[in-house]
Amino acid sequence: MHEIAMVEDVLRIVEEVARDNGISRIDQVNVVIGEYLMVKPSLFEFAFMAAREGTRAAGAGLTIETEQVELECPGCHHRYSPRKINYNCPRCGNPNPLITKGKEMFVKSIEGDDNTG
Amino acid sequence: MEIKVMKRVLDRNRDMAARVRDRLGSSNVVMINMISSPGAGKTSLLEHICHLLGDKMRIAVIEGDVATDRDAQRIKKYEVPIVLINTDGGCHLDSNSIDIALGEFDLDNLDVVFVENVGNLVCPSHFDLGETLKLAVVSTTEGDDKPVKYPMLFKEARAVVLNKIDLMQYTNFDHSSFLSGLREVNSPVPLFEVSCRTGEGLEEFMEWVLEEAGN
Ligand SMILES: Nc1nc2c(ncn2[C@@H]2O[C@H](COP(=O)(O)OP(=O)(O)O)[C@@H](O)[C@H]2O)c(=O)[nH]1
Ligand SMILES: [Mg+2]
Ligand SMILES: [Zn+2]
Repeated sequence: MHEIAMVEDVLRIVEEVARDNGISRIDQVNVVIGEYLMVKPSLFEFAFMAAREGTRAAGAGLTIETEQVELECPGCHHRYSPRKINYNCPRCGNPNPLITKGKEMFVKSIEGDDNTG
Repeated sequence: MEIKVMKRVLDRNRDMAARVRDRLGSSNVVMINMISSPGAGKTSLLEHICHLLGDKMRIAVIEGDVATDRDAQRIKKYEVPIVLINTDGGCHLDSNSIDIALGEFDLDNLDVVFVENVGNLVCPSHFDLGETLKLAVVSTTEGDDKPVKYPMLFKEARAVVLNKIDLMQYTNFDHSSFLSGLREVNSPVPLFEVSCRTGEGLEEFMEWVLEEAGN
């Protein structure tokens, strides 16, 4: 539901990067969304398509890569991927693992033409 | 040409949340972010908290409401400092509005700030408010599958309240499947089973609140 807020922040970031790199037209925006966030890619894409109007990304495509959750046990330092929603350490049972991957959302890269091109 | 960016989304919210956390820390104030579906009983719980703990600790309330001031009106009679944030349809509070709201309080003369987030189980978990802890509230009328459906909230909650236990007998709420779901998502989290209608279970919950707020 607040995909709009996320997408607006994505667009703010890519506009800034495009400006700094002299890119007038962004063709492609590549984002990574951690699995932990449970963001629906379809909703995110829908919001992106609506919000890109009037920006340098007005005609840009979007790819969303889902990043799997990775965990590290603070007790025995075991690194593992959870099976479904139970994150407990499979070695020692510690219920408070560190989420080392898959809880962030970030803009990975953009593609576009520079002004001279 | 492709340009590597690698920039996190919603970092500004995170930065502001860190600022809020510093502010609270330097005034020794605990902030409790209450998250639930609409109607689970956040405001009812707050009314009991203000009533039962109002003379034991210095409370302030931030009410997140999509458009109205109805919840704020309910809390007003307890004479605690209260700030209403209308999100204009927005599905969550963010740290910037919390930072502004805190400006209305005399933080050095408070022990705990309760934030009633907008009724929603997903969006509020994505926006760190700078809170000390999150409290998840669910009720027996919502079904027993909430923890497994919304694992992020239940993993991050410092405690869970199961409200409306007075209605359990009239619903198909399966207590043991709720419990096993919750334990699968977060095995150690404290669970308080209460009724804001009959008052059952509230005493134990209030003890927990006092302990968390008593820094
Ligand atoms: N039967 C019963 N009703 C409750 C209980 N707690 C809250 N309610 C009712 O549920 C409705 C929603 O409660 P409210 O506190 O406004 O929920 P909020 O949207 O989470 O703030 C209100 O009509 C309350 O009176 C309870 O424990 N039992
Ligand atoms: Mg309410
Ligand atoms: Zn371990």
